[in-house]
Amino acid sequence: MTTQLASTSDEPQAPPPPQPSPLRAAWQTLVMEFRKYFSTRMWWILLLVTLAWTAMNIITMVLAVHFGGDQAADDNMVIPKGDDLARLLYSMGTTFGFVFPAIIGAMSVAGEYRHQTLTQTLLADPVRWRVLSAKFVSTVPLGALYAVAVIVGCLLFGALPLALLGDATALGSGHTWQMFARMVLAMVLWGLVGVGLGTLINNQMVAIVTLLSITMFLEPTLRSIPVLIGHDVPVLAYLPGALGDAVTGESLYSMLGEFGVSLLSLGPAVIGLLVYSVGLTVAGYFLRFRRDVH
Amino acid sequence: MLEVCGLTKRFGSLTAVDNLSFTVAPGKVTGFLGPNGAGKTTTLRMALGLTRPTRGTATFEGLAYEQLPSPMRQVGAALEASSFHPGRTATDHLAMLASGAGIDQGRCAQVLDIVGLGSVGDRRVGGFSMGMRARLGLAVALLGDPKVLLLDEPTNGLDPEGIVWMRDLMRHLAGHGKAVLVSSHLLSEVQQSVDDVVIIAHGRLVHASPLADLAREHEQNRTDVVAADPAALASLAQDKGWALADGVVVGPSAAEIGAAAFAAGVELHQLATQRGGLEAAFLALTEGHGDIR
Ligand SMILES: Nc1ncnc2c1ncn2[C@@H]1O[C@H](COP(=O)(O)OP(=O)(O)OP(=O)(O)O)[C@@H](O)[C@H]1O
Ligand SMILES: [Mg+2]
Repeated sequence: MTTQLASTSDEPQAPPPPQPSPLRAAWQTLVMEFRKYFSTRMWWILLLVTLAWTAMNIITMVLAVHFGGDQAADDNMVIPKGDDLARLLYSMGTTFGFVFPAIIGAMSVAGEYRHQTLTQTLLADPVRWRVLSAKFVSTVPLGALYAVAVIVGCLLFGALPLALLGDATALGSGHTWQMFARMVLAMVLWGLVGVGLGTLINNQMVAIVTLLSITMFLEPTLRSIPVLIGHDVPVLAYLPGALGDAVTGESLYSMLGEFGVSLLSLGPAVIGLLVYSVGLTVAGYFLRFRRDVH
Repeated sequence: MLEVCGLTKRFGSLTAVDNLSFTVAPGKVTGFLGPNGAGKTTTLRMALGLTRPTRGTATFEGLAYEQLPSPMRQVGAALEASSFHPGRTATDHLAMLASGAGIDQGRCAQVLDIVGLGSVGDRRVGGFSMGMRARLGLAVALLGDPKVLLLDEPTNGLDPEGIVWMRDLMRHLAGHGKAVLVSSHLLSEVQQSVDDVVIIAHGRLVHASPLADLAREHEQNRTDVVAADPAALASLAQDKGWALADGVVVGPSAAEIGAAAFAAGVELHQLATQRGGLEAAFLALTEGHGDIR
């Protein structure tokens, strides 16, 4: 044991370590957050779940549309044809898949409270706004990673069966690949919204349940209002799910044709989701993250 | 060196730490003592910038923890019941913190060896025993090879061998010029390893001195004596120059008292040496403060 103990330094008068540059300090904290993400099993478990979830949804829709498309035509729905139909099917990957980057983003903050690891994180970097910023930035590649899983799911369980059934796959169209790129953007933005949610709601479970109930229950209910009252309600385009759909550029709601909620264009929609994510994160910083850590 | 100056923390109506001031000198192990709920952990959390003081400051060479150029390389801390993500391995946990603190990754394996976890570095912390977690917490404190170490009840969960090892480690660190603060609610636990003591109760400082001074102040014998005739005992004490108060004789040993009383024909009904030593001194100092609020 004595030889091992000797590895602690012998110079009490050693000068204090130099101050790292602001950029260097930020980079160190960012690397810490990346290591945090990739050193537990959660990231790849959620990645597999994203893929499986996408696969299940897409293949169901492909089969439903291929074999049952005629029945739906009686309703008010406008079912697109050919390439447009294929794109609509692919876009459902993010319509359902957005929750996964949001969950991992929320866990990156709320998980620190759950496992009480925030203490040691703040010992490594006591500058709290820098820690929170690093969590925000480090979630970007995670969102992109989950988007890749969604796109792979779309290709394997959407494009491939469509091709086998002899339907249009739209893969030859630049518009389709543009939409895939927009899906990556949407998933990244959802990851950031998750970070904001986890910062404001420190209980991991409550944060996720809140996310799901707003996006899967409250928002669909609100978005059905225009159909019920027979005219558009423009403010609904600013709901987070509508913004996400607008970033992807296609949506299930476009099937509702003229009764559907009109969506914003790409630029404003991106800004809208950024406002949600930054707004939640900044609010969470002042209301929660700066507080005493016990 | 750590300087705590007028540190105060209120939780609602409870004053957990009350105008506390003390210093921790380099090259020494300082015992930070007080009964449960005295405010030790709260003080350390304030020193580390985790909890905001209501008043007062805690500085390392004049700087607050969050102002330090490279905090983990200047101050190492192991707080009570360190928490880890159960799904992360010990090595990954250290590697992650090393990245954040700008510490060379090679240091992770070194500190794991120092704390005796070298062989379990790639096991998930979820499967660690309490003692293994305590050791990993210590590894975190040592990661940056800091000049100041703040250890909150580091022997919690350690086996007897681990406690001896911990004691040697603290002596070793102080021997190499580090300032080591170790908290405990038992003086006897750290008695063999500390140079200085800072004793608090109810968040207030009750004693701060080298351990040797505390020992000297309390090394005199204290004996409970009950005589059939208290007046005879009082005059005997006066003759011999003993301090006698409330039936306690301070100074001579029980044997001396017994012999003198026998010679003087004073009938004794009780002659009992009080529990002596430092632990009694510690109890006396924190007495009446012992109730947990
Ligand atoms: N977050 C908190 N909110 C309210 N009261 C608190 C909080 N943290 C500590 N306290 C109170 O402050 C007092 C000091 O607690 P602290 O944990 O600092 O004591 P301690 O000396 O470390 O005790 P122990 O030996 O049991 O570890 C206690 O009365 C405790 O109940
Ligand atoms: Mg404590």
